[in-house]
Amino acid sequence: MLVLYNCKGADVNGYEMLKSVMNAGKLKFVVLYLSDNEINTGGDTFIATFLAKNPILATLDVTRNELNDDDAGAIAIVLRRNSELRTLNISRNNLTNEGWEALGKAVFDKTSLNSAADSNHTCNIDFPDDDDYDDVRQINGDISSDKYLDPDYVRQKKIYKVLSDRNRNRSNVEHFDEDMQVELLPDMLQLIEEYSNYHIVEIGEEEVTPPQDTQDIEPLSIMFEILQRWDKSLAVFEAFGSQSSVR
Amino acid sequence: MSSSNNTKKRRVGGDTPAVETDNNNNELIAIKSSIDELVHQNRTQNDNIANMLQLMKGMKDDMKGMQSEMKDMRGEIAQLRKKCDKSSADIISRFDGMENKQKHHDVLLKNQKWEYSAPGLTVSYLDSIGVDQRDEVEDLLRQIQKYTEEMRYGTSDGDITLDINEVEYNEELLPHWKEFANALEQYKYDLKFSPKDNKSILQLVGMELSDEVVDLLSEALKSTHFRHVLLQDNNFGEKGAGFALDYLKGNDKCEEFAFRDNVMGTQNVEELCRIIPLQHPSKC
Repeated sequence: MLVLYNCKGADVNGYEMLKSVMNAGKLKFVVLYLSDNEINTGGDTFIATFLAKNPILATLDVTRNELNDDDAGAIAIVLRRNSELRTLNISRNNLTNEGWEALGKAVFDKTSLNSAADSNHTCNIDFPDDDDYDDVRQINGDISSDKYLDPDYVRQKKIYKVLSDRNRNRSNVEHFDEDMQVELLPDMLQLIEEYSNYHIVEIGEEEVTPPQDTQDIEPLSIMFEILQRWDKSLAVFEAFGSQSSVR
Repeated sequence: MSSSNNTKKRRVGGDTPAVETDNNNNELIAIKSSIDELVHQNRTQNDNIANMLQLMKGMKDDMKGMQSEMKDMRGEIAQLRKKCDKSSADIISRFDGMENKQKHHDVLLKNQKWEYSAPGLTVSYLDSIGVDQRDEVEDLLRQIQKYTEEMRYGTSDGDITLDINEVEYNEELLPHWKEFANALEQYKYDLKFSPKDNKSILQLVGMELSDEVVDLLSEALKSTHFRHVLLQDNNFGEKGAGFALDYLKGNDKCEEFAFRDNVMGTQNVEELCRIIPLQHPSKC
């Protein structure tokens, strides 16, 4: 662990110091604190490039520097490919909502089920206390207690959260591909049931239960929505009805 | 009649067709016999070859078995070598541990008669500093004496933390720093002897460290290797940073190095980057 907190001398550029230290310790440091060193990238993307290589670094603290939205955006892009970084402290820089939203999307992109599944599931970021970031602040764990969650659990939780959110405004069916076959319906309903149990994780022979989101919708509600609103599901009932009448 | 004549003619002639046939038959029998002989020989040869092939296959299998045994034996030898190396490292480590334990006990015995002997602060010095600063200075000296005695008497838990709120350096503090530095120097046996899960922390927070004190600490800490080191707000300039980095370079046990609110110059950063790759990955 290396902590260099407010130690930039008059003849030292904070960003150059960061680059030198990161380059020298890319295979060494698990924890790196570089707070309060007037780090200003000037548009350079060294930090993002460094993180993209998925080094062993687990904690990076760059609070109280001069990083901006562009830096946050660049970091957000590479975070999706980084599974080693568990904590990123980047508050008290020059980030606006734009930068924080980019980071928020990196850890939970709700645009689609695929984007939610492909988000970063390992990194805790010190998001601002605003309500806007409630959904992402503790999605990968609790930064204040250094509590980390199992990435598979987080991934399933995010997928189910997207399904739950869509169910609230009855929009799950709108996101279905037009070519989607009705034969997939049983699998789909089974997956919804499975994803709803994301909080029951089996580790070896033991079954553990991490916290379940209190905002979760019951799986039955999502299933009902799909059966009710997807026009193709009618075929299933018709087929079922005709079989019954034959009997 | 004609037929008997014909018979006669044949007999008279000597080389009659009947004789020719017999000869031919004999030749055929001989050829057949030769062929049979050759076939037999061929079969025998084939049998021999098959036997040899079988024999070679058996030998090949034996070789394979032997090779496999050799491989297993090599593996066993490698494992035994590893065990030997481990045992020898373990013995050396235990021996070092016993040596350190012995030295630690010797130091403790010696320290039974030791007493903290740094003089108290003069009234003129105390009068010259404000009330707030006086409290901080007195607090610093209390902490220095406490940790010095703990290190000397072997009652320290491995956490040496001097933490105060900004004390400026004065010559009157030097004897106390000397006591502290001497105790740190002989504390090395304690650190080496103590179990790995014990605390091993050196924190100097909030006090100004003059060049003289930096030199004292630098000398004292040469062999006293803490796993966690924090230097904060020491106002010791680049020389102090140089001391910290020298300590980091010589300390192969350091897992956490924290440098806060202290100035680092370009040369210090370059030095730090030279040191970092030398540190063991697991220590960082």
